Amino acid sequence: MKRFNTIINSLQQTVFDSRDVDDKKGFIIVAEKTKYLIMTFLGIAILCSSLFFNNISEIFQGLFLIIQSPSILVTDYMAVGSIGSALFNSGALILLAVFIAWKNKVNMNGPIIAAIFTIGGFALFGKNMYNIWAIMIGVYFHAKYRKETFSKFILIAFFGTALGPLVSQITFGFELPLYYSIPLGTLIGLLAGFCLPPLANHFVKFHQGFNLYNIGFTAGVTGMFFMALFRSFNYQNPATLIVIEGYNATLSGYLMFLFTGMLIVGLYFSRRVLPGLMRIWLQPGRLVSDFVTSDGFGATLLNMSLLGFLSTYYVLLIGGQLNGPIIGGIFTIVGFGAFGKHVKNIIPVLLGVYLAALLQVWEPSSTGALLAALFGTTLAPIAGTYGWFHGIIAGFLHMAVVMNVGYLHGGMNLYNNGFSGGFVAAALVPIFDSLKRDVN
Amino acid sequence: MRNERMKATKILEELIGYFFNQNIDHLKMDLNYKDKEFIIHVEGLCTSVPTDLDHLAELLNEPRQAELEEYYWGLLGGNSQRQELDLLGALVDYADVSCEKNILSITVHRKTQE
Repeated sequence: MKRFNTIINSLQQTVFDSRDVDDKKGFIIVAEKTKYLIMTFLGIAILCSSLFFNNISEIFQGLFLIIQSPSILVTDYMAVGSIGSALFNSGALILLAVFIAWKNKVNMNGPIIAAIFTIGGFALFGKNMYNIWAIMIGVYFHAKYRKETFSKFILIAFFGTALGPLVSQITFGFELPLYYSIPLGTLIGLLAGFCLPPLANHFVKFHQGFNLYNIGFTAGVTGMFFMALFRSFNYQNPATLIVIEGYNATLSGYLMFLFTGMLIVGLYFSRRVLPGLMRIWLQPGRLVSDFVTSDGFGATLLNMSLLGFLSTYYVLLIGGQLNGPIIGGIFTIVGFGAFGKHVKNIIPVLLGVYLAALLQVWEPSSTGALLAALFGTTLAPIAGTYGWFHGIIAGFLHMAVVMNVGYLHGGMNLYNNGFSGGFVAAALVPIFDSLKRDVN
Repeated sequence: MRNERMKATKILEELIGYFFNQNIDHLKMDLNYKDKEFIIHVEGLCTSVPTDLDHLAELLNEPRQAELEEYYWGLLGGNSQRQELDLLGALVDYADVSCEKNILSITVHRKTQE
């Protein structure tokens, strides 16, 4: 009991002593230790929340099924395993990412928070404890080959797990014997991870930082080459859409609880709420916009929480279904609330995608159209830089493009919208720039 | 440490972009690439103190962010319409920024070995 009290006292001290007000910057500087503690708590909370949905035996049975799933787009782990096992997978991967970041002495800033939430989100539909390792170790080998520290490549390693299905599909999807498919899948995963760093650095210039999911574009190109090779050997990926339906009441309550928690923590670490949020809303959000460094942890958490509410209500208002991929999309938006997205720059893109779905052949409430809307906010910097009208155009065009690019990588790049977003941004940005009249 | 000379070029480009945005067209530049660090100095004649000078000084003296290096450094420089000052701040160790006697002067330091 005495030891327990000591731990609680130490935690309280860590949280309360961390509110160091910086008058020059106008916000509360939160200690790195505290930010790590909060992210760890988030991972534990999501992991433990799995027990509200399933018992331990069901969770582990589900995890076993999840690990063996080919995981190509769109595979809802809540359908493959169970809601509890998908949440357990998400919480476990969040904790793993937090641990890797901590071991590499990386600051818990906007990009890292975005990467951790993205991993947590996609752990509901494509990333699991089997398929992420080869990619991350491939990036690690690249760092060692270049005689650099892994911390310089950590973002590429985290986001690069978008290619997890490449490993899973080779291992479990092509019906090869496991003694052959496991080493082959691992080897190809390592190779893909090893190639990602130079490609990510190169492709970010293609869209000039206007596509927030840059690795989505990079992984899309990488996946496209691998898929072309597989097809040349007569290996095909089936069109996949496995999702659950009918859990809106439970899952929306779950998300509201989570975002309210973030709101309360954000308020606690905020000095002045509205000015802090306004500062974020004034930013275009183009890469690299680290809101934690520029506007403080408190305001960033508030922004993330508001984005969570907005995107959840968007899904519910449109009449969509909350499931693994959709919640993954919401988590990713929330994560990028620390790294480029805010309510002002995502709404035009959401409107553009919604308008497109109304006028084009897709049903706005279908999973595909909702994923296009949620992940289409990768183009938020276009709205943030050029204005609402341009953001709507970007969203409209994105909806059409994203439905055409998935075939290229056969669903093995989980950030399909980042792939599409790269093309859309690269095409629109030079045109929008050329239309400006006041440039020398 | 690969690409360090390329990074030096990009940092210089970004600084030139800042001066151009302040309508300073006559610049003096110095790039000193040493064994363990490089120093870039840019100065030019300004008619008034830039409004964001304090903010720039603050950004350029933020701690280096290693995790942004290999991924995003390519975004620096090379664009006349946008500035990447946050990224610039994440890639340099420290800077001296001043505007005295109508001379705007910026010197940035980046260690090339850790």
